[in-house]
Amino acid sequence: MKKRTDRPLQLALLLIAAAFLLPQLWLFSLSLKTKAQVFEYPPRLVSENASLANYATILERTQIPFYLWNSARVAVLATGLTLLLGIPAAYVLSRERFKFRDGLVFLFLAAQMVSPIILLVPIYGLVARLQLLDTHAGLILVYAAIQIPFTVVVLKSFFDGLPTSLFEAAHLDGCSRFSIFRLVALPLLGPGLASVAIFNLAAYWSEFCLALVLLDSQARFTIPVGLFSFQSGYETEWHLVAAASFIGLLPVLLAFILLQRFFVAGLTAGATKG
Amino acid sequence: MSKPRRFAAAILFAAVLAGATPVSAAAEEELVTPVSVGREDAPLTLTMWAQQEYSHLAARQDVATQFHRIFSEWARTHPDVRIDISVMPALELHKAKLMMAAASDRLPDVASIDSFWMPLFKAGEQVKPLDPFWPAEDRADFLPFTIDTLTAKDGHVYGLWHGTDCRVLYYRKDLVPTPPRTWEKLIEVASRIAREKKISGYLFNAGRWEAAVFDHLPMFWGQGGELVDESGAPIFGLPPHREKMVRLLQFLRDTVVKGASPRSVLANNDYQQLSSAAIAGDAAMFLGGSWQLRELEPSLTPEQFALWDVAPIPQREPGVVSTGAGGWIWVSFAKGSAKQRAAAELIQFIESTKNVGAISLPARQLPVRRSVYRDFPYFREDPFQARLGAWLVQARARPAVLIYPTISEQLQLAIGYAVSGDQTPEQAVEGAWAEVLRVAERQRAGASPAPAADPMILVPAALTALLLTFGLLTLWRQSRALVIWLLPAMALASAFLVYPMLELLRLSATDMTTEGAGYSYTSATLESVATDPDLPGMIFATLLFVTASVALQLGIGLGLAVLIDSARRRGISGTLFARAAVVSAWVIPGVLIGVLWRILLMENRAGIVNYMGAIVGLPSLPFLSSGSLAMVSVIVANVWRGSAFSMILQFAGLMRIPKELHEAADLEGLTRLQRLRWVIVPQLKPILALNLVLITIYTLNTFDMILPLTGGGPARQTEVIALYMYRSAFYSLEAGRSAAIATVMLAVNLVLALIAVRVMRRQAAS
Repeated sequence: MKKRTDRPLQLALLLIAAAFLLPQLWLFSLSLKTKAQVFEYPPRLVSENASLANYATILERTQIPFYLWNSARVAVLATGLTLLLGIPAAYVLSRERFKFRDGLVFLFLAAQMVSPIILLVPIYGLVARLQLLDTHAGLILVYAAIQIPFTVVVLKSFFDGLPTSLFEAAHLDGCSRFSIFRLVALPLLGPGLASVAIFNLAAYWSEFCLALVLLDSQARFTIPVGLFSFQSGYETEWHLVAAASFIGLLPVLLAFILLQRFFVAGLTAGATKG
Repeated sequence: MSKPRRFAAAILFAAVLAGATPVSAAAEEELVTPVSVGREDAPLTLTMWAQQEYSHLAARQDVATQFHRIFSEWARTHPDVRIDISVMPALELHKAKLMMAAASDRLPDVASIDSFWMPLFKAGEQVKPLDPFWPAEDRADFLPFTIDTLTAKDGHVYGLWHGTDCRVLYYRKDLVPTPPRTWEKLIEVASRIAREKKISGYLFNAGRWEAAVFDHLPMFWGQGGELVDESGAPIFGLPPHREKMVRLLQFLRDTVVKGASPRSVLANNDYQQLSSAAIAGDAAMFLGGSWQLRELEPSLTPEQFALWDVAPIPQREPGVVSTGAGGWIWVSFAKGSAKQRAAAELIQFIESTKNVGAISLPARQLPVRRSVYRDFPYFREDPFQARLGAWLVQARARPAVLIYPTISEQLQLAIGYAVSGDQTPEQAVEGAWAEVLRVAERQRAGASPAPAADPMILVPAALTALLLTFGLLTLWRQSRALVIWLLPAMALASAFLVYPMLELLRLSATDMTTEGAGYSYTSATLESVATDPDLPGMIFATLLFVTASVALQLGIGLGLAVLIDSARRRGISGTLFARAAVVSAWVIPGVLIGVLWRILLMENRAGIVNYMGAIVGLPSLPFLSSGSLAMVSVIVANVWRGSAFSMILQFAGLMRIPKELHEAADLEGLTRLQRLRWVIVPQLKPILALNLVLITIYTLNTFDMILPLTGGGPARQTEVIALYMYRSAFYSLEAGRSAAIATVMLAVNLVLALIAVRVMRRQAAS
């Protein structure tokens, strides 16, 4: 009885999944082809002699491994810096009562929604004057600054959710602000921290516009910039572009599949918590 | 070659340690890495920006192998010089990066540049003479035009031409027995083939890039037209040159109108699109570059390849032969005599007769060294090479003047407008001419003096510091400890968010080209933005893009969320999978979204979406080359990516709807629609409102996926304001103009952000 009414719903779910997965599947299919097979007619999902040869080419003969390394490095370091600066700020904004607190929270909330691409020109100028163009340090500083408002807002909402009684008890025990933070708040922050960290990692991994403008040397390119320049040469080698793209996609997809819960929590918190 | 695999492994196992990079570890075992040549500890380091297809990282294995050999030899014979190499594949990007580096004094020591960029760099100051380190007898081995073009007024030679090419008509002998020599004949033959064989009769570049202009200049020159006069001032918009340009644009329009060419030529911004159509059997003729011959050969069977031949470019009048010669040159920007000497030696080492002979064939370029023709019989005896060489004699290079890049950019737009039929050829030429005159006027007025002492520069910085100090002082008075907790976050955000916002206002009042270059304060920048004739079109494109994306994302997001939620409530398996599938599209980097959809929507018959369409009986659709369809494609790609965001928010909202409400609805026996109308939407209202504002902000600021997908084309039909701002700053190098646009965007963004915050507050309060 129940089964029959469920069928259309199940079918709908399947169609949805297909609409979002098939394009990615096609990209993967292209990555297994040879140059001539990309334009073969009629197109086939699995061409003759499909092989991972393109992946070997990408990993052995191109700069893509460097880009992956750079992206990983920049994303991890920038996330570290963001959390280092963001956690204490979020903590006092959540737990302390002081003048301008609401004003500050308001500023962070609003700043979180200002797109950095609007500020590309002045940011480029600033980084140039700091002599940090074409360095990862410059990129990491800018990244951290841009994600700090988001990080503070979300972490504050997680701190807000911790039970007040714990803090009161610790206060009565005579703990200092720092020890309350370290002994009570931080250990409870686990899931919130994970959400923010993962969200930031993904944002840094995918960021394109700033990296494109602030970096010159290929030795320092991150994966989105690398892929963009890879596909916009004189003559695009689509089979290689597809393989390279898939390699760039894989880490985020894997991270997402493994850590879906945190992604969604971070996204929901960032967009709704005030 | 185990090293890159090790990098990959290192990344997979995530040993991300600052400082210890794989680069340093690799250089010890190998002298040539993707990013460097030579020993890590060499006393002298040269930085080099090379062309991807002319380096050891070329996609063509044989070119890469040759360069690997050359660089290895260099490293062995020059142990005291190390080269840090960057290859710059994207043409526009390469040029813009060089210009920005020039302005901020960070030019590489050696670079490969397109020959027509030469005038952009100051001879003697930025680009250094090669002849002091380059023997006269070796220089004499080069074709005279390569030396003459690169000799400045001071008599020094400022570059070494590394091969050239010319434009030709490719045609299939089985379909076109005699190649057409005139436009009229070309259209006649091509449209007949298109009608009868259902393939493209004639293909050419009309996308938004340099080749769309350069490929067609021979048709303008062939009529006696000139772009600039002898002093280098633009004249193409003046009689008698103007009507020759109009005629050319009319001809290009006619190819499409009369069915000789498909509209998809408007999306051709890559020579590969021409050769791939030829390989797919979808073209009878195309206007291409001499190097494409060797591109076709390996991809076709010998019988198929034998069907192809080359001919001179068809002209308006019979009997005229004209072609354009391009080519890349090595230049030195090195400072100090040791580096200048090393740079000149490196360039000559790469371009020795032996190396040029070995590279030219795989790199598919025509050598400009006489000794290569002497020592390598192939270049004398191959029937194709012999004819190409003969045409090269009549070839013209682009005018080496500062205004040329502007002329090209404007003519690219004009060709787009004319071919698409959005403007008449007259209107298109008029529009391009007006803009070229404006820029030429500004160039004549001369670059403003270097900003040695501009007190205004301190104002944004001082204001930011003042704001920060005020905030911190207030905190300090309440509790000193607070300052320590908040200072780092506030300081960094002030420096990279608040300061840039204020600086934006200052920059929008200047005519700055790029950071580091001179500028003056003027209201002309704002005026030129406000009076830009293309502005209304771009505002319209932005509104269309944003409204459609937001409406669809909200609707689809809501639909998905409701569907998944009702499946969840019934305990149907697979909801998590469906949700993950939707969100997986959202985690893909924006650039990749563009690349992915460009692949899906490819406009020849091998394009998968078009192929699927053909199965259900649809005609082949120009997804990226027709203005309105291109906008649809951009919106679809954006919605595909963005629906997940709205789905997640609304799904979270749905989960909060009390079970009792649904149970009540069950009891009342509400239909699905009634339930949506009376239970779900009222409960979701606040989330929907917030969602609306947030998506609007995101979409307004989106251009990363548009850039690889359409590049803003055809013409400017998908150029949203955000992309316009980006292009102004980093392609056309008009930082002041970009700042003026960004200021307006910032204002809109802030207003929307305030609305969003209010909605959130209200939601939190209720």
